[in-house]
Amino acid sequence: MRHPHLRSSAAQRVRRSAAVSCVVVCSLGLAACARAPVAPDALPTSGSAAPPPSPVRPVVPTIAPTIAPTIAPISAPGRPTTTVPVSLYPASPVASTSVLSSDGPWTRVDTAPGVTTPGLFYALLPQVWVYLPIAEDLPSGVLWTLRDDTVPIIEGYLRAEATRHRAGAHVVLRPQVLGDDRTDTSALVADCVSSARGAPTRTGWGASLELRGGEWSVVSSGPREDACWFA
Amino acid sequence: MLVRLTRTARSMIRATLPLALLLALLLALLLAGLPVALVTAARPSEVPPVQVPGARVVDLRDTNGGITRYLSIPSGSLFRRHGGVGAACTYVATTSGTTSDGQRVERGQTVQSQRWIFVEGLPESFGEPMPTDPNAQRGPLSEAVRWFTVFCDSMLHAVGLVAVSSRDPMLDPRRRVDDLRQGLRLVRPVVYRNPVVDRWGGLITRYTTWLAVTPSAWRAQRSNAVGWRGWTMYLFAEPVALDFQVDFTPAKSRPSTAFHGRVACIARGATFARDARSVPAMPTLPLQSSPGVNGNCRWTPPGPGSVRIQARITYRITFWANAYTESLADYVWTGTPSTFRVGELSAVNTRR
Repeated sequence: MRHPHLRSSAAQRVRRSAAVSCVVVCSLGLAACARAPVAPDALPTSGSAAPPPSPVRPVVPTIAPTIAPTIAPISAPGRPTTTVPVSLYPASPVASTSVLSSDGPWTRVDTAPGVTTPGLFYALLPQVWVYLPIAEDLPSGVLWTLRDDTVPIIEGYLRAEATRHRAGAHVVLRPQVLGDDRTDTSALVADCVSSARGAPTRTGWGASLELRGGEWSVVSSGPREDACWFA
Repeated sequence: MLVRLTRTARSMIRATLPLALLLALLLALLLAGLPVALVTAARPSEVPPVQVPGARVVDLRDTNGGITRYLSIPSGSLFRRHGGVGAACTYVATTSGTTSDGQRVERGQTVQSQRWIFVEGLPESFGEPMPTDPNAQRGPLSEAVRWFTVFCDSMLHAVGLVAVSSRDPMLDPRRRVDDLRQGLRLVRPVVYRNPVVDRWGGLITRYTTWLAVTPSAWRAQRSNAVGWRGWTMYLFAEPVALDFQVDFTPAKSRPSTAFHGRVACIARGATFARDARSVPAMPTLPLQSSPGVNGNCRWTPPGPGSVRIQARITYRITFWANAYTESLADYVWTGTPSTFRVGELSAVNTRR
């Protein structure tokens, strides 16, 4: 008499076990399905301040309705996709038409080692290159671009740099004019100098310039670590 | 046989239940899009976050459309306080790679970086100011905000959007108001020359002088534009009131009462007529009046001498920044004083 019962009980437990498994799978599956697809590094409305580490991406909050930017992924070759509100940025950045004057110690060239973003390239000395962006490239971190009002400052800086470097140094200069302490007669330049030979290294350099006699001249310069922080 | 089967079933249950649960969990994680490696190899409880030292930077959009980087951020600025003063921004790496300072980061690993990057988007179009009504555009400057995308460690990790008030010390355009004031070049008001001056050579005792200015200065004027940290700024000056400083010195040979005083002419908000010769337009005046102030824009010389008249226009000042506006304190602008001789009309050759 017990045998059928036992058999029945065993069968019920097997069925129950399968049912429990199914419920777990379904519930977790539903939970997974309930998660909205989240773009990598999607935008919360405010930055987070070092919360406890979590492998789960932050929930995407609603973006302020007054701006409602379009969220769309943009990517750079060889870089992971990032998501930024593209409507806040030029869809097709207009390239600056500024160029350095022809009377400096630089020569226009086609490219510089290790630089893949568009811009102007100059040889300051043999094997000493200068890269000057002319169009924004957000994913590549290129935001500063050469403009007419910064050309004389950059030229003043490069004239000084031409005496500091030696030919064949195999370095690429990426100077940019900072907004800090900028007046009609003073300016700061931050330069991330990268090595174009051997192991890639970057050295931050900075210079203070003043407008004297109608020409920008370096009045002081030295290492500047933060010049490479965001280059 | 049945007993054996039952035992087998029990052992199967014991064996399959944990396995089923594990499979269910893995399946659920796969459905959730989380890579197994994240769970098995990069559990954050075991892998410490990557710490990146550094500082915050602000990339402001210039008035020429370009971006300029600022490394110095005032202590009261939202750019310094956002996310907590001194706090790191954080993100979880979605792919293996390196941080901005070259540290290796594995997928799923948390990065805590001091390098907050605030990048301003394109400014909204605001066009040119409307000289006739500078206030009729985007509203009060106090409500103006500028939008920034917040990146953590590099441009690859956008972690938020932030609206920054125009009052933020990093952005506040009011810091440039003094420069705008100093650059404000208003048309100097010129005292209207009464017709009697050209006819008789001067003003006439006991004959009302019409105090007015030539029309050139009585109009809305605009300063030169000043660009600063993404703001295009102007001051608008709109004339709202007019009065005159009158200083009468009697002739020593024909003493009368001196006069030094202010004569009101156009009160704020008052309506008045104007014509091509003067503001306000000169009405028909009585042939004789009692000396002194005889009403708005009217002063009558008490006797021979000389009078120095200086016009004072009060302008309502509107500060315009990217089409947002704010009222500033009134500005009084004076003209170069005009001096007139005052004489008497004498009846001559009346007997024939």
